[in-house]
Amino acid sequence: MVERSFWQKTKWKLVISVALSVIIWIVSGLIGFPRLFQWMFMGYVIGGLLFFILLDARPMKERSGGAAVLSVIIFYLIISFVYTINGALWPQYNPEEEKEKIAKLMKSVVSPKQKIGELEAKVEELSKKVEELSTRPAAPVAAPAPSGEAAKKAAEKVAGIPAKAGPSPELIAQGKEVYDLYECYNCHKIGGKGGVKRRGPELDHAGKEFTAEQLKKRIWYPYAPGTKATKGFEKEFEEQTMPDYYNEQISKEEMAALVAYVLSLK
Amino acid sequence: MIPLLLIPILSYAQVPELPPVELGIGNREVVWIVMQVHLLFAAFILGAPIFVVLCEFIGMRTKDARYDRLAKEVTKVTSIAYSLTALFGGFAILVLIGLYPEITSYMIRRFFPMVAIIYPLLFIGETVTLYSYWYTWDIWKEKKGRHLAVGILLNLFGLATMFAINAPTSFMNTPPRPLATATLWQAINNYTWMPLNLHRTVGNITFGGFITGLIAAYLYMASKKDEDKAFYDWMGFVGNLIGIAALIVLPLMGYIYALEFYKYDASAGLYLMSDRLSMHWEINGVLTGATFLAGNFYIWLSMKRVEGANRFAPYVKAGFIIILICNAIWMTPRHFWPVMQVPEDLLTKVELPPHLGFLALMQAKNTAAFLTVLVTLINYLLYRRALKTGKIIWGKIDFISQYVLIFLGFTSIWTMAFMGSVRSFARKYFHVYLYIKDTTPESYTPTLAFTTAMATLITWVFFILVSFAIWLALISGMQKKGKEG
Repeated sequence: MVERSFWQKTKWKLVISVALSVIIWIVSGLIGFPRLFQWMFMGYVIGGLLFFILLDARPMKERSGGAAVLSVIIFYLIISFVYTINGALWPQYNPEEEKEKIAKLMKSVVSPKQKIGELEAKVEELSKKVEELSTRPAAPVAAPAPSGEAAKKAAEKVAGIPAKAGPSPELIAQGKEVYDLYECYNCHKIGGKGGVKRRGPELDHAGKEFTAEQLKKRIWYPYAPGTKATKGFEKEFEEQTMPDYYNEQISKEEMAALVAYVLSLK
Repeated sequence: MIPLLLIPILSYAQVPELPPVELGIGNREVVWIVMQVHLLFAAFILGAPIFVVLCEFIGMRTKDARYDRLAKEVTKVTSIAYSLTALFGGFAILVLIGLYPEITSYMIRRFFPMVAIIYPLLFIGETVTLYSYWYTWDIWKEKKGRHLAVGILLNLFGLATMFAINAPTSFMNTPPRPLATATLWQAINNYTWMPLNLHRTVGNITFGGFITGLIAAYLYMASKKDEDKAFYDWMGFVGNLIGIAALIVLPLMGYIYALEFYKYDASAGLYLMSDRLSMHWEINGVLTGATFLAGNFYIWLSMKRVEGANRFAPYVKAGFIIILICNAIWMTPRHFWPVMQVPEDLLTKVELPPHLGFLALMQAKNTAAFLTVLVTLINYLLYRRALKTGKIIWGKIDFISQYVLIFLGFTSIWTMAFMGSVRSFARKYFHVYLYIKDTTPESYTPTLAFTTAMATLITWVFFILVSFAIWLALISGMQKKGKEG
């Protein structure tokens, strides 16, 4: 039997590839693949064609010495170029968006340097007070205005879980920001948006289903004793898909806003 | 009284404070390069001895001297690579202390008994056994059992060293919760420690196999004598075979590793597979597909020089079609979008419609991976069958095979450099996930384009150094021998 020439073999491969491309394009379009996926399949056909051409290519001429070294370096440059460009061809996200998010999340982070500065200032303030008290004659003292931790607690009380009057629109808007910041939308749907896979319950009517206390508990301590799975999410509950560390991540202020937002969904 | 109580806290500030070191080219990038080059060398010096001892053992049992020569030559390169590993390890520690002093200090204190006592002891043990293994090669030529015992000891020290250092690495990804009360053992035995140990052990064998293939390709090209060519052709085949054999198990190890991320924290798993790192897995798909195709292509080239093996060509070609289809499935994403949520107006353009969504699920990916592995096994079995009836002439393989071996070596290095960064990015903006936030300006996830460029740069740095080690250990000796001969 006469061996077919390289061109004869390649010619047939080209014909088959063209026919295959047409069939794949039509069939994939008919069954509903988006255009971008169809182009990916075309890329595969081209890649496959090149690979099959390589399979039946004539044996390569041997190289040695300087020619071999040079060919290896050129080969490295080609692979490097292909791999690097490949990374740039896929969809890229904008790191600026993440940087913004991180900046918001870092607000609560205090560096050791800042901590030392704060402590030094406190030492100075207390020293002054001690000095004042030791030199001033005793007199009736008026109740001091709340400061520091006390003032923070009072503010929390005010901004806390909304009471009967209902949360302010600003608080609800803040809550939406917290929702986005912690990317709750990755698992939960609101208004049909979010939750790629069915991982967490839809929150469209959460305001009707939960009280503020229940919501707070479900976010901070989702697996606390007595907590039951939402209907239809028993498996996810068992697998503890809902993170159980938000009590360490979401501050009281953030939680107040988040709860206000979720409660507004009715 | 109160100021007196605060004195112990303030005493930490006795050392004059210096401004943070900012290198201008990005502190993260500098640590990235130095650490990754160190890791690549570490992978080689841990992977190569596993395979070297195996070859020496086969050589001893079969009385085939080629296995012993292969093992010895790879060990020679390993001993040079070992010095470079230590050099880059020391460099990495200095860079970390200078650029990330707080987290480095925390990690050292957190794992103090391990990093200050156990790890150095293991490292000394590994050094002693590696050099003993190398220097006793000829002395214990007739006492192979004894020599092999040293090799096994070397591997035990190597694996223990890797397991030890994998603890802080995996701890940063999946620390025990609650962290404040966690013991040292809980910090070591965290969620992803054992999966990382398994993944790296198998990955290192693959890496060692492909680097051996690379060494063989270099030496084949440098060989003048037919006898040498025959040997290095055979060595390339063995390197590829071991690399591919370990590669077959690697996707499973990777799957277990990723699963542990999900178990630890579903949102970490989502971030890794479906959110900002999702497109990185497309590159992983390209690399895995290219590696399987190239490995099988090499078997095809090996078969072509066996008399009478042509009859298997149609089956092997059918196998290639299956590998290509499987790779297409492996690479089909749920959507071509770099984050989890696709803008509504783009949904129909970039996302699979619900009835085709199954193609993006793990069941489809696992089936594709299984079929790829199966085809690879069948190809190897066909090759073995061809050998039973035909004769093989070593040293007469199509020269393109040497570029395939080089390609496999390059791709495995590039993959490790790339996927190592993916593991690191899974911590998001934390140094220790959920507990210690990274407050530096570079805590964000870099773009895919940037990461691939970094992987290429790191691969080049490693390649230049490893090529130098091969030249120093083997090629220069071969040239000298050639001149004398």
